[in-house]
Order: sequence, then C-alpha cells, then structure tokens
Amino acid sequence: MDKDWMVLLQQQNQLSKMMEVNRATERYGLSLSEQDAKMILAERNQALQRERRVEFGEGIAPQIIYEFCDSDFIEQDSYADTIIRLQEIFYMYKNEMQDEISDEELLHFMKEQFETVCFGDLDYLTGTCLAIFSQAIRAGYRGYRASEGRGEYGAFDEVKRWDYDLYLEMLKELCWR
Amino acid sequence: MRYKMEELVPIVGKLAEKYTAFESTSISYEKAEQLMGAVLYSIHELETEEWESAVLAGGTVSAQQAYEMGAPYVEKKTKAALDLYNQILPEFVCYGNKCLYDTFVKGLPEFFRWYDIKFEPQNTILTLDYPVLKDISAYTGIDKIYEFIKCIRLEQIFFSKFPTGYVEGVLRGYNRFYKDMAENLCEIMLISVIGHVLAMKPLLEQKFDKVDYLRMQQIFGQNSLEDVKKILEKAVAAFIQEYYESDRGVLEYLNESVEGIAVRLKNAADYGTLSHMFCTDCVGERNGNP
Repeated sequence: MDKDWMVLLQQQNQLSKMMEVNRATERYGLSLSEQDAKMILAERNQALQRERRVEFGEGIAPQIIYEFCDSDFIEQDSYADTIIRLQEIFYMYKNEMQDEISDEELLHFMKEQFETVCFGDLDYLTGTCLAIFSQAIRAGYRGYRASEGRGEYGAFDEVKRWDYDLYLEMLKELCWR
Repeated sequence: MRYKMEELVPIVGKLAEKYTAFESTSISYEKAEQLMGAVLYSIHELETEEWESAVLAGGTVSAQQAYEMGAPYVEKKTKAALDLYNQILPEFVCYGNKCLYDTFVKGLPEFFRWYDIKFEPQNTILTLDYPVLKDISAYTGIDKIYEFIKCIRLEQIFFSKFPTGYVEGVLRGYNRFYKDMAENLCEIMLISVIGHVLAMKPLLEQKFDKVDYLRMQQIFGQNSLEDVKKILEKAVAAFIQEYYESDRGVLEYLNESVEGIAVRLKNAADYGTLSHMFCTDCVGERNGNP
C-alpha cells in the first residue's frame, strides 16, 4: 500500500503547539526558538520513519518537554538536542516494548531513571535502564500499569546502587564518635 | 473506492486514538495499515448494500459518514453469520472427516471469539482448510466466513437427503482414508450421484460395474467437453428437481463444481480410467498395493 497516507497522518502543524510549551518551561530557564522547534519536528519525522511508526494528534514532543523541563540535568545550551534524543529514544522503546506501555508510563519511567539512576546520561538510560525494562515487558511484566511507570526500575536493576541507610549509619557513627 | 486519502486519513487518526485508548500518540506502520484496512473494509460493506450504493452514487456521503454507516453492517453481518452457524450446528454431520469437523466445529467458534469488528474486521483469522465448492478467495473477514457458513449450510442440505451410512459408504468407496482427507465431501457425493444418473442406476446400488462404466464411457467419449458439461448440468438439475424441490441455492452451489467434474470425467473417459473417479482405492488394489 502507498505509504503517502501515513505521511499525511502526521503532517498536522504542530509548530504552534511546540512554541506554546515555552510558557511552561521558561520558569526553569528553558525555551525553544522557532528554529529549534522546527528542528525537533524535522528530527521527529526522521525518527518516526526510522522506527516505522506513525504519529497522530499533538505528537510526543510537547509531552516530553513537559515531563523533562524540571530536570536537574537539562540546560538551555543542550535543551533542543536533548529533546531530540529523548524523542528518538521514546519511539525506539515504544517499539521495543511492543506498544504494551502507554506514553505516560514510558515518560514517567524515562524521567525517573534520567534523574535518579542515569544522572542525565542518555546513553545509560537507553543502553541499560530501558533495555532491561523493555526486556521485562516483553517477557510479560505489567506491574507498571498500577504504578504508572514510577518506582519500577529497582526490581530489575542489576547494579548495586548507593545505600542511603548505610551512608547515614556511617555518618552518624563518624560524627558522634 | 471513491474516497481520497486526505478524507480517509483523519478517520484512521480517530480510530487510532480509540485503539490506543488515548494512551499513545503513535502507532507502528503495521498497526496503521491494519486500521486503514478496517476503515476501507467498513466503507466497502456500505458500498455492497444496494440502497446505500444509490446514495453513494449521488456523491452526498462523506468518507466519515460512509465509515460510520458501514461499520454497523459489519456487526450486523457478524450476528447473521453467528445465527446461521448456531442454526446449522445441532444437525451438523461431518461423517468423521477431521478437516470438516476441525474447520466448522472447532475453528469457527474461535473466529467468533477473536473477531475484531472495530479494529480489524478484514482479518479472516482462520485458514478455512475445508475446501468448499464456491470460490470465496476474493472475500476477507466476516464476508468470507459468512460465505463459508452459507456453503456449509447448502452442503448439509444436500447431505440431509442421504442416510449417514450411505454417504459414509460412498466416501469409503472413494477413499478408505476419507476421514483424514482435506477434500470437499459434497463433490465426491455429487460425482457418485452423477454417475448413477448417467448410468441410470438406482442410488441404492452403490458400486458401479463394467456395464455402468461402459455406458458412461460412451457418453463422455462421444461428446465434447462443453457438451459433457451441459449433460452434467442437466443431470444435476434433474436430481435437484426430484429430491430438493428445485432448491436454487443447492443447485447453484453444486453447479460451481460441475465444470471441474466434467473436465475430470471427460479426461478419465479419454484414458479409460473412469473407475478411478468413483473409487480411488481401486487404483491401489489394481496396482497390487495394500
């Protein structure tokens, strides 16, 4: 079947919507120029094509921005590039998770790991956190539906993380000695 | 199809939103194609309805309206197919043939269980392994299933006039492993009936003898293929008139296979192997095989 209709499906003008999100992100010191917004939308089309997906409605970029705008690890200099990368990762893992997870659940999971496990490292987010979690979803895990994608990674994490209890215990011991 | 892609795409977009329960803003190409197929299928359903076609010809129905009007027809047809299936099932006989049993008794309930009227009405789900006499390959989804059930109904009507043991005898005569065959049982029965009509032999006498084969040999040998086809059609029509009160449905259904039977019988007559058409097991026996 001719794929032109799929292009039509996602050709709705989303530029104004992208510019609208600036109102919400300005208080975090982040804003997109019209050129940035156009670049994000152009990259979106390429990412969708690469991942063989069709987007309809408002698109995912505004939602990514709303979710990540208060991040400690996103700065104005790399803002547009980070959104582009997050967009690519999002589409890739929608496929990897076989569309079992909703947009909101995936975004919550991505944001949480980006802040607490990856500390802004997108390579770690995609290569480790999302790879492990998508494997669990493909194997039939559905616990994220109840948690909306929050607090999920701990059960699947293969790395021993910083133990806050042990840290506090040691701190008390050192300070009170 | 009379609608442009620009008109269909927003319908697919809305359907995609419903499919994802508004929880996803994107879908895979494969899913988008499936949903476009669902939209086209529903519109096609509307176009096949006569009175609706007249409205469509006037050009007053938009693609969105056509989809909204067509979708209920899919549901209506599914209900009609299920009703017909339930009507046939209590009296259904398959003479121990696994292919017919598996397709009709095991397969069709699974179809009705999994058929997705809204998001994938074009999916036939089943391979419908039992071959019916009518060519239903052009159909998909519920259209194909409904046609298949209608064919089985006509076959059951055809078989209903014969005692079970008699049909089993004919089938066993044709192939002793008839229970494992993936062939149309009705056609085998029809060939036997045609043989009886042409040999002027009572149906109660199941086996054909040399005199019967000679008589048939004469008929097929002296006539062209076209004439043989006409002779068979007449024989079938006479039989249907006699035992089925000229049931047009059964007659038309059986006539679907007459051309094929004519070719096979004519060919068999030309090569002096008519007996193989009525008893394939005889081939093995003659060759000394078990």
